Amino acid sequence: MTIESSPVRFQLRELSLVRMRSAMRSPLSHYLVAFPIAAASTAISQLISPHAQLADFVMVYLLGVTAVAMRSGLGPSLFAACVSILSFDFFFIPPKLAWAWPDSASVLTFVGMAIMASVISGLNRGVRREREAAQRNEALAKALYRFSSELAEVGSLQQLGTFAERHLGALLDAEVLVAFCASDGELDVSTLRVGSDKERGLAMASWSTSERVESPSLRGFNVWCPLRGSHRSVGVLGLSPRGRGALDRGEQRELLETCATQVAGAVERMLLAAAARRAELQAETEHTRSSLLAAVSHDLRTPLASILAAATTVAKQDTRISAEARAELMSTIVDETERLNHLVANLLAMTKLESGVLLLKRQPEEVSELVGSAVAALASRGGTERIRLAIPESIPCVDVDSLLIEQALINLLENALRYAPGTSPIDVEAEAGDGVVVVRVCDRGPGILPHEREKVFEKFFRGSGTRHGDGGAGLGLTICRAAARAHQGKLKALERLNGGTCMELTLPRAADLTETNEE
Amino acid sequence: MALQSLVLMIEDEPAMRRTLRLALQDEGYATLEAATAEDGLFQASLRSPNLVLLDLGLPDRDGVDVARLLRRNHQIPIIVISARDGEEQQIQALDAGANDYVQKPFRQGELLARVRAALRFSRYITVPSETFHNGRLRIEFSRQEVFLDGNKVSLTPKQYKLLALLAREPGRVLTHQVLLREVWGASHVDQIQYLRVYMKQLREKLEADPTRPTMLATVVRVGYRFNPGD
Repeated sequence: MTIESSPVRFQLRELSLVRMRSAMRSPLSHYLVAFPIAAASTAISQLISPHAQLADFVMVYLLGVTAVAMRSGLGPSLFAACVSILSFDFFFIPPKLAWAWPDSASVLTFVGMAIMASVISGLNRGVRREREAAQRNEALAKALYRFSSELAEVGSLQQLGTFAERHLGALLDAEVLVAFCASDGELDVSTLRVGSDKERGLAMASWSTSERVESPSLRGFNVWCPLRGSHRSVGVLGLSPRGRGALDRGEQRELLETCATQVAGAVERMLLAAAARRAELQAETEHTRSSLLAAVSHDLRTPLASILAAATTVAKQDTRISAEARAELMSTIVDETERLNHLVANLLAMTKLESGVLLLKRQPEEVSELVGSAVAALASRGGTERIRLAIPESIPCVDVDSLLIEQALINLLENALRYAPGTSPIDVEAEAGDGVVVVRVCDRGPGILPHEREKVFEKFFRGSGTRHGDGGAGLGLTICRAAARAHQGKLKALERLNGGTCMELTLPRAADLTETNEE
Repeated sequence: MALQSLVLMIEDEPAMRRTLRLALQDEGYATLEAATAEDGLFQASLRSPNLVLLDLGLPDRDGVDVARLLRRNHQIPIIVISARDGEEQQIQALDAGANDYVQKPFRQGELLARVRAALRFSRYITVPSETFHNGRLRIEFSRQEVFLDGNKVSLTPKQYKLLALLAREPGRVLTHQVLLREVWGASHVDQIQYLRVYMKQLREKLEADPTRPTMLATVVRVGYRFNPGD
């Protein structure tokens, strides 16, 4: 298995070095070092022999044995003690330069030296073990720290799964699989890439009981550890140890537990964040819906009241109203019906926007066609002859839901027609940008006050220049901007040179055609 | 007086039926009414109307099915009436054989214009012709040749195929899906860009002003329609 080079990887190498050192037995070289040490002790004793007594030589040999015992285990220390005693016997105990049966004093020296060697090497071994353990713990702690800090940067559950499987695999020297709870709270077993039902069963068992489950008889993923969240298991972690007995040591188990806890924490954090996002979205939707309902029922009733009043007057049998007045009433009915129709179209757009971006039916559309069809929809309203189109033929297609963008254009044009005076022209122009197409609807109206240029896009906001009862619900621009944003586009209100407003709609360009050639 | 055209309305809303009847009779058409799909299909086979106005929101049967049955059994032009948010259904109905559509709510003038056009073009459906001809454009279907003001226009095979599909059924709305399937094959029904590019090319070759096409009309969101404009 290859691991990407990362800080965790570096830590791991250290960790395995420590592991290796501790497992090392005393090698031959540790024994062989007894000879040079004994030789050195002999040489030093020879040097000081004119001024020293037998007891001083013992001290020199003892020092040598101590030096060995400091560095090696019990075996090499005792061996060094033996070699030293023999050298001492040979060189200094009379008869010199000959083996003599040691007297009681030198036996005592030998026993003392041996005890000394074993005590020191024993003490030393303890210290060494502690140091190694400390080093190992430090490396482990560093690796864990790296793991958890990198874990904090993982953004999605899916990424988390991959991350945990890769890094824990290296950390625990095993193949690792993780599965998390889906949003419904059930374990998503489908993502587990295990071969057998038995393994899957172990995973389920571990998850549902929140206990570690092991199966010694199984090859493959035979250790499953629950990812315990604060209330329940949020997933499981499965291991298939690579080395024999890799999980036997207590510290490995502890490591597994620690990692499982950390991953569980991350999973829980993500699940909670997702739930919070959902709740927030829902609350906002509820709020929007209720304020929309209030505004809409008012706005629906206003034209309906006019229609009903006009229609009942016309329908009256014994009416004495003139033909002229009758025609006027009829045109009221038509106008108000158009207004209702427009409102309903906006509501439809709103519903579509609120139902989410996924429902957008995006297709490459010609800007000129979208604008043309918006103008046609406004034809019955009158005044569309004021609209001047300046859309170059070279403008690329936009990738949009035509129904929504057409509605947005209708609203922009309607606003321009409504607020720009008399016969002043409305200019529609388009321009291709980097990956986008910019459409501008510009009028010579009174303009929007600078501090209201963002506010006009808020729901139910009516500009200070607008009159009441002009048929606007304060939803039109809100829908326009929402529609633009649903397409990753933008809508801005700009001041126009020499007076008026430019509404700038930025829409994504459609992908270029790949195959236009005839075969 | 010329023979009155007979229009069958299949519409479950009595108020809408009454209004349609008044408007159609005022224009000089004879009318038949059906409130259900079953009754509509029965009357269509019994009286052979010249045109069917079909509401897609019928209580007893899916409007798309009705369009398919009407089209299969009788070569009657069908205009479907649908709500604005019933676009999917409307496109399905066009694919199933309807000629044109009107979205509710509509103005009387809008509907009557569609009715007039559909009746005018219905002769093209009943008598498949080997040539199409209007003031400027002549299409020889048998020889796959196109002439504009008497001059031969050279079209690529796909351009011709697209034009021929539309021109064989003047006035009928052909959906994007139908055109893509017929010209490019079933695997390309989502590649609307192809259509846009080819329609642009065709308009450049055939229309007096390609930016304001009179023959090759766009039906936004739905497809294209060939207006013979005689």
